[in-house]
Amino acid sequence: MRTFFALWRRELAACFLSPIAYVMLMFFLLVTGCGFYWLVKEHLEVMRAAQGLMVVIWACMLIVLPILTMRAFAEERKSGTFETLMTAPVHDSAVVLAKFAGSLLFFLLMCLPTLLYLLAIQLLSPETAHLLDAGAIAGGYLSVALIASAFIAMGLLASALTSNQIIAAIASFSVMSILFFGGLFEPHLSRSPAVREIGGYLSSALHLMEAARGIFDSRTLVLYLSLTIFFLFATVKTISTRR
Amino acid sequence: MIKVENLTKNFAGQTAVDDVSFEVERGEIVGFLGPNGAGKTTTMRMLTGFLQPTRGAVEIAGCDVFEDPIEARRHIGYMPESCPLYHEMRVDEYLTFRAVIKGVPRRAIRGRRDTVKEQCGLTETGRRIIGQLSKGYRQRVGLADSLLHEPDLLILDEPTVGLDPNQIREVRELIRQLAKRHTLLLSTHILPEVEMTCRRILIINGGRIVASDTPDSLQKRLMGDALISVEIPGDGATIKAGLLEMEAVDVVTHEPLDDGWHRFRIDSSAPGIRTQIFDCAVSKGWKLRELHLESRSLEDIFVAITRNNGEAEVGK
Repeated sequence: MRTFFALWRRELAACFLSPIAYVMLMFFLLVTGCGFYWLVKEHLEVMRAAQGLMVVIWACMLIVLPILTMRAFAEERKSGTFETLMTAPVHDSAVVLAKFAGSLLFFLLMCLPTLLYLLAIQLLSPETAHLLDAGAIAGGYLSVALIASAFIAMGLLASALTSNQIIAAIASFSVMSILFFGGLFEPHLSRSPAVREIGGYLSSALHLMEAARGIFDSRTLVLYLSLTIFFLFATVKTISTRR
Repeated sequence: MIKVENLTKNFAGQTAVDDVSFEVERGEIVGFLGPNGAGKTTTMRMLTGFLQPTRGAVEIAGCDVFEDPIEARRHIGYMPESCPLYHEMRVDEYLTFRAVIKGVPRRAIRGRRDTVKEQCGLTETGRRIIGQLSKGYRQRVGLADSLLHEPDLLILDEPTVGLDPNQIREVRELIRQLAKRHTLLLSTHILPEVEMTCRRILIINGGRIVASDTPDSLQKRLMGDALISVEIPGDGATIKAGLLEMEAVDVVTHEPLDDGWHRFRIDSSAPGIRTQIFDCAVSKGWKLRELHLESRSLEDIFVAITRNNGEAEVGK
């Protein structure tokens, strides 16, 4: 446990010490900020805007998470520190979990300032603020965290498979895109009811919208948790066999 | 301390390490030599459990490296080739982090950190960022890291590569001190270093162990014939013929020097060959200004063993 926390701390410190993290942070706040501004301007219904914000955060994940996770193993492989790390008496799973927890925490910290947008509504437009439903918003953020953990686990696997960070980023971006576009458009485009149904199940956009409306669906919980566990397991297996 | 049995590693159809077996006793200092690409690093990586072997077993301090990797690694201090470190961290920060993940008890961390820093001459550099240190200092940080958890066995892969002569001397001195308390396996290309520090050498070539012995007995076994150098003035061809008349002498190489003298190198294993040469010179009326036994360096041994692609297997 002590080992895990030490690894986790190092992982977080490495995030905050790399310039990429700050560039990502800026990008993320810029896009979500502009997105929210536009949503509020267009939809006067505040709750719709809050739901929209979740979708904007989700869209940002597609860019932010591959870049956040690409360095996890690829960089250590390239610089050789992977060898020093893996010849220390640490379990492979502790290393993977620490990297996962580090990236997840960093991403959640990244999302934290978006709460200010909602606070801004409360302060600037008290007459509509009562329409904001705290429970639904909490559900939205919980879904964001769930989707992020599945995507981060995916990114870690991609990073564990290569020593080239660009390849890792593009690979995880591609897999995430399948869920992204498959989920977003397929249910609306396809004529086949089977595709529509499966697409509906996998669409993280729909999951987020539902959660942000205050509907909690245990199926999505199971989906993202099992995706996370599966990808983390695959990552552990990858780093213990590919060296 | 180390027990390696039939260790084999194939990479994509190529055999990097081929059926290697050897043992290292507690307290030994073993130099691990071989040309580039001979399989040194691969072997060391398998010893530390970083690479899985295709076949074979490694036991470190009684623990099977592949069955019980965590326990085995507790006994090993390993410094990989080129000494990779987290460049964004400070020296103290890095050593503390490494101490924690190596399971040094919380209370002992500061003490251990200060001890290894002192051992490796890093007392003044604790606050420095690793990425800004010179290569020599980084090497010391790597070495300090490998000592943190007081391992029984130190495995150092080319600890002096890329250092300047002064730094090499310092690292060598450090290694010699470490040898008093640890079992040591180190690989290097710098042969005088091995001659000075190691009591046993393992030579690997083409993925096989081709020699394993003390430098002295390897020298005797391989270079049984002594090489004697003589300098005599006069007509080179006549003198050469005269030298060859001696019974014990088989081969003479001849090299004229600028000042009318000639240098002859004589291969012979006969005892007392030098006095015989002297007597020969006296009887023929030659002048002698040099007569000495050339000692062969580890370099000669290394070249002799590895040149034939490992066909000459000795001392296995």
